[in-house]
Amino acid sequence: MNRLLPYEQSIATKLDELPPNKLGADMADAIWADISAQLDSDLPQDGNNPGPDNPPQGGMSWATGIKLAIGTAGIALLAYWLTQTNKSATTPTPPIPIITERKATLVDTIQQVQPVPSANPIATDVPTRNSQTPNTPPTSNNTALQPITTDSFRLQVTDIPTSKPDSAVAPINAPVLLLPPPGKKQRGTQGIQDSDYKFVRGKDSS
Amino acid sequence: MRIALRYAKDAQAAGDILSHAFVKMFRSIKNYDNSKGSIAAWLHRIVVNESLDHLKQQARFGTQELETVEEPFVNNQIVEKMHAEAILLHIRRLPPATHAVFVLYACEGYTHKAIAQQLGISEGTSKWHLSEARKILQKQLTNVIE
Repeated sequence: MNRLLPYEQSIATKLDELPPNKLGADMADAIWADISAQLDSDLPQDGNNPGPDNPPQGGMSWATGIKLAIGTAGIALLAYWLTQTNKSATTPTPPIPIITERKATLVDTIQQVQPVPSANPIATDVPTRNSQTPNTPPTSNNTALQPITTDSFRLQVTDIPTSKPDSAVAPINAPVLLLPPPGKKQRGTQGIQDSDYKFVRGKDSS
Repeated sequence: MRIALRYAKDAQAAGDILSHAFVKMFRSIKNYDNSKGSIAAWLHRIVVNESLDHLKQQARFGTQELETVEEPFVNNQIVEKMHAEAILLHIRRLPPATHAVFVLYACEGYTHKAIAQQLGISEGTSKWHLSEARKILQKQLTNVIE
C-alpha cells in the first residue's frame, strides 16, 4: 500500500503529458477576465482606501469624514440645546402682580403727592384722593380708581393692566408726577395769528 | 493548468481552480520568500491547495479504515497504450475524495501521512481511498480491454 505500482507511474507520466492549452483560447481569456475581475474588486474605488491586504497608506476615507462631520454636528446641537435649557432655567420669572397691592401703591402714591400744598391746579383738583385715610385698605371699588380730572388733562386710572409684569415693578404714580404742565394748548400752526385770517373784500367783487 | 486538470471534474472546474489560484497568488505575492523555494514550486503548491479546497467543497472526507490490504493487478501495457485524455476521464470518474487521494499519491508523490495532514483525515482513511481507487480503476481499465 505504501509503494507506487507500475501502472500508477504510467498514469502519472501520461497526465504530465496533458497539453496545458487544452482549454482553448476562449477559456483562457475567460479565466484571465475572472482573475482580473476578482483583483479589481479588491482595489479601492476612490484610490485612497486601502484594500484588505494592503497596508494603510494614511489619509482619511470619505466615509470616515462623513461620520466625523455627523458626530461634530450632533455634539454642536447637543451643546446648543443644553445652553438654551440652562438659560430658560436661570431666567427669573417675573412675579405675578396682585391687583390689590398695585391699587394700594397707587393710593399711597397719590396720597404722598396730595398733602403738599401747592398753587398747582393739579394738586388742588384731586379732593377725593386727599380725603381718603392712609390706612384704609384698598378694595376693588375704592375711590382711588375714580378718574382724575384737571383743567386741561384727564387721567383715567380705571383699568390697570394686570398681565404686564413691569406695571408691578415700576411706580404707578409716574404718570401723575410726570404730567405735562397745565396750560391751554395752542391751536393751529404756530406763528399764525387770527389777524392772518382776516377777510378783505376785493375791489372787483360785486 | 495541468495540475488543476488532474483534480477537476471538467475543464470549467479546472478554469475556476486556476483563476482562484492566481488571485490567491497575486494577493499574497508580497509574502513570497525565494529562499524557501522557486516561484514555480510556490505556484504549484497554491494550485494543489486550491484544487483540494475545490474537492473538499464537493466531497465529504469521512473516516474509513482499511481492513484488508488488497492490491488489484492492472496491466501496465494497457495504460501505456491509452491517451492521456482517456486516462484523465477514468480518474475523474472516481469519487471526489478517492480521486483526490489517488492524484496526491500517484501523481504528486505524497505519502499517506502527508495526504492525511493535507486533507485532515487519518492515514488509514487515506490508504482506504487509495485501495478504493485501485479497485475502481482496475474494473474500468479491464472493461476497456474487453
